[in-house]
Amino acid sequence: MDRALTVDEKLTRLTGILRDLGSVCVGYSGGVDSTFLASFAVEVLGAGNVLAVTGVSASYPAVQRETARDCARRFGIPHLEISTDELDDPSYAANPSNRCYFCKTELWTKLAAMAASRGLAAVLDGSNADDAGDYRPGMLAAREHGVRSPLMEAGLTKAEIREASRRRGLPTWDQPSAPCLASRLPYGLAVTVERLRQVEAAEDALRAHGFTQFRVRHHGDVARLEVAADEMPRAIDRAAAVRRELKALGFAAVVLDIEGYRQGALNEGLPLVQLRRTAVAG
Amino acid sequence: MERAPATRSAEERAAMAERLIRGRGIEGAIVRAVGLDGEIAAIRAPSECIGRLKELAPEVKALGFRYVAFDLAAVDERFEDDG
Repeated sequence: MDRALTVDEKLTRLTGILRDLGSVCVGYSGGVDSTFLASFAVEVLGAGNVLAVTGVSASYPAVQRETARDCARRFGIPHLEISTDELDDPSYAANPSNRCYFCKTELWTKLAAMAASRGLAAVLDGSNADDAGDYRPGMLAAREHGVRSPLMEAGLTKAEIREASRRRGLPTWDQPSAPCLASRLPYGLAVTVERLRQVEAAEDALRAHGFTQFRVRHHGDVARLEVAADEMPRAIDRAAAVRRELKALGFAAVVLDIEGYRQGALNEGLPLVQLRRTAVAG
Repeated sequence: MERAPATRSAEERAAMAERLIRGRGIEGAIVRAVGLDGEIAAIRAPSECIGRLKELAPEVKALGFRYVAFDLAAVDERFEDDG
């Protein structure tokens, strides 16, 4: 049925959902979805009824944090940053395939308490209609904490959210998806502050070389780069410099994935790594 | 395409991949199995061969690798062995 609705009709539906809630606390990462949701909620409910909250930890990239701050400032979104301690949870740090569940449990526990203490009616996340069929253990944590997903409920897809963001002048409209830094570690490789910092510094280095869509995958002492197909020539052109910069961060070898950037590439190895989980974690 | 037995050692898989790639015309290619459990085939070859290596990636993966990658050491002017 949603396929027949226009974007504007879905936005009308979203407006109705938000009005029914009255006041909201938005889990706000500065990504495409949560930025749109937070700004739209301010538009519908007024700034006094919205609080966007960002969970900050070593797994949250500094560049994303700057985007979140910038958008909140520019679009009048009341914004608060809180520390999250998912790395202190051994279940998260062991990096099982449902790692996101433990991270989101930490986040939503804190946001639910914050919403209650401030009298906000609901906690919202930025899940959209495209997320419904994905393997997302983080969504289970959201459901357990009563978190609502109004973008999904309104039937808005990622492409539609990008288009609606563009129409509203949000700078995030064409921003590449930006999952947390822990997503660069294969399941089973323990999540540590040191490894997250290695990945973040390596991705900062690639960004400084002009790459726009890429990932640095952490395979122990090997950095495996995934870059978009149209950026492969640049990767070859900058190979020597990139290799030296990443080796200086502690990687023994730096390799460029022949197949290029693709979302969820680490899931390709999921079954084997699950079997080896206790053997390689540490 | 049938995958190779998971019990095959990383060195064996690397040697097989090297033979495969050289046999397909990329002479002098060197393959190492790197990563946490040798899941990456790291290939040193001339950078102009990347397109051809991409075509061969499914066959290399079938030897027991999850990823096929170009080793940036191959184009580093200050080439040194990663060990």
